[in-house]
Amino acid sequence: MIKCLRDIWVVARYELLDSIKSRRFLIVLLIYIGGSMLACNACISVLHKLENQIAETLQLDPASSPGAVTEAVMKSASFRRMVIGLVKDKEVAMELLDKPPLALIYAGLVFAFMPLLIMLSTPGRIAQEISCGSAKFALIRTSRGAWCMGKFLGQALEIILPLTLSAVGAWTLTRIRVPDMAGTAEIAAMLTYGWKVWIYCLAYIGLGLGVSQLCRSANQAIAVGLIVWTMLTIAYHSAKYFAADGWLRVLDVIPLLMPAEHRGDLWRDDFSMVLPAVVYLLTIAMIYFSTGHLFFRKKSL
Amino acid sequence: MTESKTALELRGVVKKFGRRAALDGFTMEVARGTTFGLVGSNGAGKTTSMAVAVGLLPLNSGSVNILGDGPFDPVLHSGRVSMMPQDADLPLYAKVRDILSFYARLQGVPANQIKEEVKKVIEWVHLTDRAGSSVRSLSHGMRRRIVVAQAFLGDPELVLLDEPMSGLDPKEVVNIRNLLVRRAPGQTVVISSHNLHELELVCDHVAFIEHGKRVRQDSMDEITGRTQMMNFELSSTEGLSLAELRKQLPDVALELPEDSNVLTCGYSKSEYCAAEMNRIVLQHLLDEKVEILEVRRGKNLETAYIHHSQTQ
Repeated sequence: MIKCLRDIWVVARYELLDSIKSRRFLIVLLIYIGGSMLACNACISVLHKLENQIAETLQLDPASSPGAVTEAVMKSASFRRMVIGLVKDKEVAMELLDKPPLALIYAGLVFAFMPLLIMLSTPGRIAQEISCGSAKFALIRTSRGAWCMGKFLGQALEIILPLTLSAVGAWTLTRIRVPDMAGTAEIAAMLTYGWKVWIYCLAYIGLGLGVSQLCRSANQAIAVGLIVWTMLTIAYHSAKYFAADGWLRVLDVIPLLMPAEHRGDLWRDDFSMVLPAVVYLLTIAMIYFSTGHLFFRKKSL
Repeated sequence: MTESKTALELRGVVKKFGRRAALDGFTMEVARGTTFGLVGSNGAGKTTSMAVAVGLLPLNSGSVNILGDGPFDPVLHSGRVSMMPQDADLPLYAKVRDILSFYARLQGVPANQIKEEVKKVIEWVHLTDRAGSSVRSLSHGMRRRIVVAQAFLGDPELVLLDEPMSGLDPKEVVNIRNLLVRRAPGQTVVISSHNLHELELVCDHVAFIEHGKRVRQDSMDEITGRTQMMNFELSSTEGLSLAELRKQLPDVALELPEDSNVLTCGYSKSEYCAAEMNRIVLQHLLDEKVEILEVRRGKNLETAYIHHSQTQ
């Protein structure tokens, strides 16, 4: 057991260091930081337009800079619609209206795009090593389970830095453009959402690596990963749509196995709501990962 | 607990790919401390038998026993067994030193010895100047050398090498041969190769495999007959009489085919040794004023293998 845990850590550490030193990681990092900064910039511009509209309606002086009538903006119907759009749950959105808008924008953005980025990068990690045969060098030195688990941990650790830096990047940009909207409370809220998004992403890493264990090339794994993700999304929405009383209640179980079902709870502050979501997401991650591993553990290499 | 005398044992192993049996009841025993050659034609099952031995391929039936501990267990055998797969490449973007350190760490080489161990194996394959390079910047031959080097990290008890000489330049072939000869004491090395000359130089035991079955396994001495046969290649056999020699060596089978200039002396190793045979036969040939071009012990492995294949 100790050897197994040690091997998981050795593989994870190598995976992490190998990634950090690669050009791929640099590109991903730039995408995360650039994407969050650009999106925040666009949102600040939208907020500025909203402020101008509200100032015009209230017959105040047009705001000279964004953030001048922030409170009024946050109470506006347009802003509420925007938050509902980000959270995708009206009830949760209403609870969040007193949250810093910058944190909400950042969280909405990373909740939406992180799964895509993960599904584009993670499925190749194991499949690539199977296809070139380099997996064999590791698998005569450690068990398949420890190696795959190490890959999972490495991938999980790898996204912490982009998540954190993208939050810092978005906050810095906002600090420059709208100093009133980017204080310590905002960066604290953004980082809090950052770790919640990280938990959310673990389910997708589990899915990506689960698929990766079934495939024989990186490209095939990425394609299969995107197909599986699409199918799960269709299954999720179908189950929600068709769930009804009677035997159709069984369809209520399907959404519980989808990460999207637990995203709403991660938006909340109430720890009693967040904790079950965290447990669910970790379980889902392991279910996806283990499903792939059931095949991989007996796979011919 | 007593240490098993067998480093690797495959017994009745069947491995099928679809309907085709790559290994069909394959049996092989490799004694500890030996250098064992696995010889066979393409598709005979050499690579499959190695992959089955270390669990890279699940077997359909039969048994594998590694170092007397039962089937390969990556936890139990980590650091004690290593392999150089034939068709595997190292991760292209990894640095040579980093990837070898990773493998060393994974197989349990103590942290304070990893640097030294990696340095040692990189030196063995003459790539010290490329230790900081990425794998993809190395030539094919250099990559093969690194792949060979990784198999010797931490001096494992059992090393399986699948075509280790393939793709290497002549100097590196000699280098790898020397590496195999001066390997760690007690280390068992199993080599699969088509390069029978190299196998003959480094192996002390050999098995022939055909159609997934072992067709012969014996010591190199027995297979090549080098402890019981001497060959003398002569420039001409004109005027050479063997009658006198037969008197001196009554229990030795002397053969000089009409269409050949090679005198073959078959003897019992319990009665003669090679040096003694040389002393008697060479003296006779020199007395008879026959020019001697070459003296060779036994058949070479290639001849033995081809002969065995044709008689099957």
